[in-house]
Amino acid sequence: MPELTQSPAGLRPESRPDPERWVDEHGDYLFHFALSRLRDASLAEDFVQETLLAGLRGMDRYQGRSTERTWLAGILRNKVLDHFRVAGRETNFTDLEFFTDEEERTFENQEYPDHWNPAHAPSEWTDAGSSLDREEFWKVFHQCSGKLPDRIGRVFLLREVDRISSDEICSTLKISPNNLWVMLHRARLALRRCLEIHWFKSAEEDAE
Amino acid sequence: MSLLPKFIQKPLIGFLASLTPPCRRIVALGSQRIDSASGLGPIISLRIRFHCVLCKACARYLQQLDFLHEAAAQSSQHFAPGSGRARLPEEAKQRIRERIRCERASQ
Repeated sequence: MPELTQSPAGLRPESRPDPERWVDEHGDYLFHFALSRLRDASLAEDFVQETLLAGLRGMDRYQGRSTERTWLAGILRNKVLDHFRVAGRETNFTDLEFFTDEEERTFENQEYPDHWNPAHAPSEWTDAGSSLDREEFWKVFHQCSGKLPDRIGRVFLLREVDRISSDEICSTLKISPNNLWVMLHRARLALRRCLEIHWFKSAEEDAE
Repeated sequence: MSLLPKFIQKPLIGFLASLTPPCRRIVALGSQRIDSASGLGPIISLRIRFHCVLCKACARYLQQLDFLHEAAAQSSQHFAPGSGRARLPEEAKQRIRERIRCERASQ
């Protein structure tokens, strides 16, 4: 009889996931993932619980090709998308009024209409790439993205963080491509401005 | 451009600018360029590029959008104590642990 080295799911017994550990090892990560998309702490807790229970029930399907965290985040992501599918049917999923006044001011130019207002034109971001290695930058990044209105914030995370295609987001949330583009455009305008003020300009002031 | 006398510079810039969409439109197109599966097409892409040759602010904005795109993709990996991210409350952890134990016992 051949030695039994692998579980039915193709994993060695010692590498099989241990759901007892998941709460401590991945609980905070999954909670942040859920909270940033759902913007409701108690709902996010429920989603983490449902994700870990789904992981436990589907453990035999875990092939060990991705890390446990990636696998669990994938389950959570699908649960969040299912939730949005239902929410998208029930609500008008837009936040188009967000940032309209700010956008007006940004392109208020007497001499050349619809060109940059010199006071709002983007500043140069010195050594932006190295910011990505600094934890303080990520703190500011998460604070800025957390300030986006609920729906715009969700759309931004789905598109830019989860890299879900525009078509899939439109069909999940039942919105038109134009509405999606406007929401993403406003999210980027707002996030860029927030990072400029709270990270790049404040770093410049600290250096002076 | 700065070698030209000022009275020619301004109308020339105005004329060249009129050949491309205004900054407000370029900024929106720059965002759409990231999300449109089929791209914006060669003519619009060319007009954006031409505009950016004349307009430093738009060129900078589009570069910063690329930075945001890259940062957003990496943002989920940056999960460290003190990085400003939310934590699952201890009582919720305890509740979930108990639910897992119950579920395992019933399997």
